[in-house]
Amino acid sequence: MKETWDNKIAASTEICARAEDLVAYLYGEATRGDARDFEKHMEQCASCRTEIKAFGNVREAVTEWRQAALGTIRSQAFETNVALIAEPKKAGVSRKLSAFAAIREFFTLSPMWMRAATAVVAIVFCALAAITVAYFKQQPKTVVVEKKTGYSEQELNERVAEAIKKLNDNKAVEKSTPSPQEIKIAQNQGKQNAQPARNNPQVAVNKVRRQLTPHRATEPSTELVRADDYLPFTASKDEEKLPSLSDLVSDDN
Amino acid sequence: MTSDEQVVERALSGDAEAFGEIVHRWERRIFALAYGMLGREEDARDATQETFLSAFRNLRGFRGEAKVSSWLHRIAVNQCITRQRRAKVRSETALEDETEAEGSKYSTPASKSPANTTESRERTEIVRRAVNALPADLRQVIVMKEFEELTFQEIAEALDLPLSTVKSRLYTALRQLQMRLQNMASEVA
Repeated sequence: MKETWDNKIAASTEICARAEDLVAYLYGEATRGDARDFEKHMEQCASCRTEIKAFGNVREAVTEWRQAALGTIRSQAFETNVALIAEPKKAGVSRKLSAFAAIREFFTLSPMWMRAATAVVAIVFCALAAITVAYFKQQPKTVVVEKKTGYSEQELNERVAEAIKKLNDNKAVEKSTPSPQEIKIAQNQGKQNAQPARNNPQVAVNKVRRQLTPHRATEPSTELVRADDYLPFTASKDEEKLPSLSDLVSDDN
Repeated sequence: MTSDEQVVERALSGDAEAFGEIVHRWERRIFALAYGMLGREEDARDATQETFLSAFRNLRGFRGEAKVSSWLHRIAVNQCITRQRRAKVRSETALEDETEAEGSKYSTPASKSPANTTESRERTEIVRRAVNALPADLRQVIVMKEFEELTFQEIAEALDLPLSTVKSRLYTALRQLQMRLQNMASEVA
């Protein structure tokens, strides 16, 4: 399209070498001497004469358009224009400024007293912030660590009481059916010694205490119940019959 | 009356009202430039707004090496070019669709008859389309010259171009406009 236009224009008239002088003359910007010189040139140059006339018509047409367009545009548009720039917030226009630019603009446009007041407020704020930070840094931190090593005495007693109760309940159920071990003991030591060992509360307490107390490495497992827990020491009839050491010595002698 | 440069100095030293004065001084001309570049009132208004916002944000970057007017025009031209790139100029088709809406906004002098008014509207519409069809670099100079009536030197400063380039671009722009106007007028007829 552009080439077509250029070709058309080039073909329409020849371009004179004094095109720039023509423009200066047309717009009245040539000096008096240059203007006279160009007028002389036009007497001999048909191309320039044609163009001066044609360009004059173009200028008239453009001027007519300008007057028609700009002559009717309301002046209030310009008043709004000023308001928007001078007071963007009032006019509802938000200008995008970087934080730094905004601060710089603020300090540029503010009066001196406001700048000073802002600076003082900023310094006070910073000082307060620093003091607060320092205060919290100096406070010692008390951390409560609860260390639970085992049962307390009260807990232990409660557990023992609970366990005793449970054991007694179990014993009440098992009372009617003695274990084979009990039968054997009863056979060996007589009927009067078999039952009391099972029902002795001190034995049960000892057993529970042993279960709840942490095992020592050197002690054997408490799963093996010792006979003395169940049987209070009483000399058997066979033991009573055994001779004493003094007797044996005397016999040897 | 204080110069633009003095007003900018005041704005830089913290005078909040000073920049508003710059806006009041230049808004119409910047709008005219934007309108000539973009061809739509709404776009021109937005571009004008963006131009002054950009100028306000970069006020500290203004070192007084160029005139305030040149600085503002440069920002405005860049704003318009950016807008055109974003919208891909919305193509001529989009502009054509808006023809009637734009045309209806133009005032109707009481002295003109309905026939004259219609003819005038058609003519201005043709010009608008012809200008908008120009390449951006040509459109810039023709708009700055015709809409803002800047001198060649001012245009050269605003666009950071040599004076001779401004003149040659203006010449080319006028030639292209002449051809397009002829072509469009014959199409309408």
